[in-house]
Amino acid sequence: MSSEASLAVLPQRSARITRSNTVDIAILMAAAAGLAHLFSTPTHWRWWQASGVFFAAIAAAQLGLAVALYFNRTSTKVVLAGIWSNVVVVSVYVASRLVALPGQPGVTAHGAPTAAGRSFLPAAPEGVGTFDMFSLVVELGLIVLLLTLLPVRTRSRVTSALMYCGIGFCAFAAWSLMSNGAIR
Amino acid sequence: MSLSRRDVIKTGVFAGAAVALPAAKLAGVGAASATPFPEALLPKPFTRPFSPPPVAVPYRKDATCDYYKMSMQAVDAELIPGYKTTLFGYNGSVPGPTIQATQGRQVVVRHINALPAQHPILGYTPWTSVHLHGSASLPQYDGYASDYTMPKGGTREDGTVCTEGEYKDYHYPNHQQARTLWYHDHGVHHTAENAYHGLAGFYTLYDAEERALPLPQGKYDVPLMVGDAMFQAPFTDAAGVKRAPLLFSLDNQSGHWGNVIWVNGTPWPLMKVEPRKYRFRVLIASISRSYKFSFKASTGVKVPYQVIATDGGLMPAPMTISSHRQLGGERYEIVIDFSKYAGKTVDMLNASPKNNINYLHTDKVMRFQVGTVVTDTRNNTVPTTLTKKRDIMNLTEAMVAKDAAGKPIVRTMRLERSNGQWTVNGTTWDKIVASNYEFVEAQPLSGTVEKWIIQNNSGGWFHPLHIHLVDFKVLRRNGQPPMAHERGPKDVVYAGENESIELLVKFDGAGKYMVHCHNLVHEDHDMMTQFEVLEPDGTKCLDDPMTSAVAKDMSLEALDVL
Repeated sequence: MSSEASLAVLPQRSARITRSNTVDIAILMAAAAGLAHLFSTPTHWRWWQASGVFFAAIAAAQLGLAVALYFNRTSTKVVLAGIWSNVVVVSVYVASRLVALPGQPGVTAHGAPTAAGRSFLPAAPEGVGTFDMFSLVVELGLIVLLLTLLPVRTRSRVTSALMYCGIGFCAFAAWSLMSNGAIR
Repeated sequence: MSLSRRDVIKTGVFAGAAVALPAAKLAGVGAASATPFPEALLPKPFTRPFSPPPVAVPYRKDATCDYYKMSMQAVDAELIPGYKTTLFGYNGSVPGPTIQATQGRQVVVRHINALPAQHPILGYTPWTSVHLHGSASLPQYDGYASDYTMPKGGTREDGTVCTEGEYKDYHYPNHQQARTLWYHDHGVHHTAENAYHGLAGFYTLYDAEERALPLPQGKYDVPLMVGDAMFQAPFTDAAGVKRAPLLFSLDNQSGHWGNVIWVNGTPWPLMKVEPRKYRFRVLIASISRSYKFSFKASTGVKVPYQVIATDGGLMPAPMTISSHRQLGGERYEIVIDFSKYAGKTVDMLNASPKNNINYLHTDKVMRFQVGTVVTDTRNNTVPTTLTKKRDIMNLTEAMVAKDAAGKPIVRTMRLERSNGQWTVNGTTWDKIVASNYEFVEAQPLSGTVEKWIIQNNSGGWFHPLHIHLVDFKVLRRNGQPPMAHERGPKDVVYAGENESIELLVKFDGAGKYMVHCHNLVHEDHDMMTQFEVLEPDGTKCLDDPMTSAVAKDMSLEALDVL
């Protein structure tokens, strides 16, 4: 939906919002999340190149969002892009803590041959650390701030979609526990 | 613009799930099993019968010594009903046979490395070095990590191949007071894998004073070796045998935590007991996991118990407690009185200390099913005084030796991770090897007492620090008196997160000995250093851990009279 279309639906609200404290905080959060992912990119590249590329892309997107917001690019399109890109990041994060992601490498012990087929520990869900929980909370805060920048009707639709995502997370968690026998 | 109440609720569902699900994993709530072995195929807790380890039979005896032969070999065991798991056992037994020794009577054990040249799955060469943990053995018989014994066809660190295999005779003096010791592998860089696959066994030392006490004895004196394991996906081999190999991971070299808790090799066993007192010798053989034990009756009440002995033997007096924490290498002898629970069950539980990885049933250890009949009422008492031999527990700071400047000798051992490596005071075993085994962290004089401060400044790790050769007294923990259960002679100390522990260490004997973390993954990577006890006159001991008694070629074994 273009900003002009938004104006047509919601004539009482401007699609481009004046720079405010909300935007300032969102800029800081987007920058913090982007830098956190940028900082983690080399480690993830060494572990699994696909995750390194993903982290670099996330960092670019989040830093790009910070720059866009800084230059008052707060159109509905930009805000929605910011929300959904962060929702994707959060979703991948939650999934990676519940199951091994497709293609994720297994683990070998020191001294063991690393040839294909000799990996003796299958890929496992990633651990939960303080740094990544910090990034998660920052991203969730950023999503909330971006929501406040949306027109009321759009915002209502987006929050409904987020609720279904949350329910999906719970269903996915239950499925992952059942599939490995942790609950029966 | 603020969000409406409805928007807040809907967004809260998303944010709450996003935070709560990973956080639940962090807290260990309903942790998903990382093992590919289906949980449904594991035995249900408290359904498998308990069994004690077998008792070792001497190969021969003479007037002053008992001689044993132990062959370290691969063995197929059935830890999970219906599935074979390849383990490493002493004489084919996991745990190894219990050696029962008496103070003043020596023991010699011939350890033969009959293991495969390569671990069938992990691919490493299982060289071995046997450490009798708790014994003041001579340096060359102490299981020095680099003094290893090779399997036939195995490749040494320098790339040479051992064509015949090797054996080594270990001599144990048994001059110390009664205690629970254990023998386990200590081979450099592969201790974790070797011990995980079963190379561990009890060694109980008795003395006249302890035998005279009215403590539970015989079938009421029960060794409990507690460990954890994880299994790979089951498969059927070419011979039609269903197999579940052990799974081993390093988790960024922080440790290995299994989802199956076993006692004496049986997952979550059920032990039938009589309604009277039992003495349990609890040893943690887990390579990384620490435990916080407690006992709970089926009536819902917490069962108190008495700690009567620690690593180095009897405590001066029993301590009554309701739970205690314990980690790798530590031994606590406890007495539980089941007399109030006839016809009931009592569960041994584990409220896992922090920084362990928990799974569905790692909060359970074993169950005691209490009968209604007592067949022997003798030795059913815990006296208020347990031992008068208090040379370690009577140590005071005033006894600490003084340096040339007249100041008490105080040494600090910092346990830390530096540049991705586990270190003691920044030292790894590589540094010892590079110095041709000359570098030492400390050179105390034999017969003296020193104060050692063990510092763990990390909030992310706990370390079981083991000092070879010596017994020590825990003086203070974070400036406070030691916990009730550790008020006895010790050789492993729980260095918890952000803890500083002050020890009074008495050095008897002489030579080079190791000090290391007993999280065996940390030990292998490479958290070990050494100290050298000098003779009382300040000269070096002539017994050398690497050269005084080396492993011999198996072609000589038949001619080498044991």
